[in-house]
Amino acid sequence: MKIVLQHLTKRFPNRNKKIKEDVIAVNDFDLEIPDGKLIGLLGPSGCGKSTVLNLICGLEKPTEGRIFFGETEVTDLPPEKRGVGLVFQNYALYPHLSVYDNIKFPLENLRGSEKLTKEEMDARIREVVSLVQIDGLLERKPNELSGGQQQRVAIARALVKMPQVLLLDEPLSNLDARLRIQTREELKRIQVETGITTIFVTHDQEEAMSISDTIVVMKDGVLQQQGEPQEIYDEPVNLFVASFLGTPKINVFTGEIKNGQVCIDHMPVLEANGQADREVLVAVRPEGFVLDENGPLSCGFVSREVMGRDTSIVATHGDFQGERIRAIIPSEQEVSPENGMVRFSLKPHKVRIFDAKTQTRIKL
Amino acid sequence: MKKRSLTKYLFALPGFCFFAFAMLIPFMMGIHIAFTDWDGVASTYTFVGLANFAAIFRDTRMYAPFFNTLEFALLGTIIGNLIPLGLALLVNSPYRRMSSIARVIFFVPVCLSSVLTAFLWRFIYHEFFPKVFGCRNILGSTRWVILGIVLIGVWNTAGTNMLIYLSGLKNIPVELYEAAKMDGASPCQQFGRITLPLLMPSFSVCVTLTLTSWLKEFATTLSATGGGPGGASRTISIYVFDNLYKYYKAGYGQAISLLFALMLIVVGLLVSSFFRRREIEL
Repeated sequence: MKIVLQHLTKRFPNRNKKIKEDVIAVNDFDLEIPDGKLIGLLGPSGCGKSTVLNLICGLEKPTEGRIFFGETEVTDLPPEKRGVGLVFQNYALYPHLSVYDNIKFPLENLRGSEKLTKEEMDARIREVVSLVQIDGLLERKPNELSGGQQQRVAIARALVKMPQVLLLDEPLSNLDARLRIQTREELKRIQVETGITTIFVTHDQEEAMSISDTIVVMKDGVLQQQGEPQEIYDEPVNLFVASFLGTPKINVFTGEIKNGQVCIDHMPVLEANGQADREVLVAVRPEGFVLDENGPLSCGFVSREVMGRDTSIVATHGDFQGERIRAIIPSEQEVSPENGMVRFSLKPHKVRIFDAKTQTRIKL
Repeated sequence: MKKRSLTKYLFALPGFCFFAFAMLIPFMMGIHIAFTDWDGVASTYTFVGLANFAAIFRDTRMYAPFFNTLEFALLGTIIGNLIPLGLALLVNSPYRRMSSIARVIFFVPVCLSSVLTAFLWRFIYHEFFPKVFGCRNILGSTRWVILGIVLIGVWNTAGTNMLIYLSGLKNIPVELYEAAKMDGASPCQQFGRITLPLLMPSFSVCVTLTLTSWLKEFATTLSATGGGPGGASRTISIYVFDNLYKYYKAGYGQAISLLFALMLIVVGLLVSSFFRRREIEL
């Protein structure tokens, strides 16, 4: 099911009653989500991504704007009529019901022509249960399950009504590191097997990058960029997107464009033909540094962190914005600082230039 | 491990001391009276063995207080839990502009003593209702008097139960209701399938306490009707009281109260364990 959000805005009254001004959680949000894809809604906490999810599932009503599933408008439909499954961040399983009854709950509330017989319910439950692989746990109560198992139950409960859209709110945040990687593959598998349009909210860029077909980056209630993971990583539209994606973070230097060259500390690091002179921010991915005795970028050497597969060089520079530069180089390369300095040249395709004031991308 | 379990009891010690000083020791010291023919005044008495206990089962004057007490307990427990639960739901509802004020207003009657409350309501039943609505004073009706007193008692104590229910409601995570909404449960179904089962801990406390307190009903009834009209609202506690102080049969009264206390403990344990078994950890 294709999902279209048109000029979606959500304002909440300020919790501090003395402040009359509303809090804008989602601001004029336009988005079109293609059918059958896995979409990662990515942004820092408090950026309104969970609100977008709640608007799509109908738990919140938008202040302005419209929501379409396919060609039908669902803006004013109650949640249960939208054909949406939602997995809560803390799973919200009914603690007094067994796993089986938890999954059965949505089916029992079906009315009219959708009403199912006991046998039909059981068949449906068995189907989702084998999809999420919790066959042996049906008689247990939620508090007898591990976090990962609870989540599978929550997903089964969301899927049993055969929704056209599956929404997951921070699905991996309550799991430990190893389970997280396992579960995200699992999520991907379930999504591919069912072919349901799935949106999941996360603040973890790695999580979003690893399994999404499409990533939607949000900040302060405003959509920043939408695209495939690699595209967003390689071609960020602004500094926020560039620094939000990628670990270690992208390294940002203040610099300038002068005479068709990008300079840091008056040293030309990159060609910028045909660009007007101005102040810019030069953002370099950690893997964009090359150790080079004659390189233009001279940095103070701090330390070398061995990570096995590659080596991370921690360094300083006067025009660097932030604490420490992190450059990643192949592990077989030797680092030999001279007088406490290392010199780098930059890989042009790993450097992105942003306007110093607007922080938007300047394409070279 | 052993040390920890000891500490556990140590924490209970202050409470236990008060309980022992005010309840347990006097109760123990009075037990032997039940086996005597003491009249409550004389300085001497003789032991009569189990005669007092045997007399209870032959005492035809016991029937009315016994059934009255059951009626009090039944009405009091039902009304005394439904109304506070309703109030708690009201105060906890999403449309709660006035909720903090309402909470205080509902709680004010708890601060009044049962004697004062009974006095107040005697006036309301006697003067206000008949004059405004033209109805009879229900405290004067042998048929309705118990309901009348139960309403007084519920008005007096509803605030406490409301607070217990309210804290129980607040303990239920909002996400469960959101999940239920997503799963298509109507507000009624949400109440029946989420709220009620998850409110069990509050039910254990409230039902057990109201039931035992209505079984012991004494002060409100004594101040409102004195057990009348014609013994129609006389409870077991009042009958015990009458035996101790009016009929000069302290030994017999003590025997009833001892048996009654045992009964209360058994009923209380049964009821609370009934609800306990249905409690769920959130």
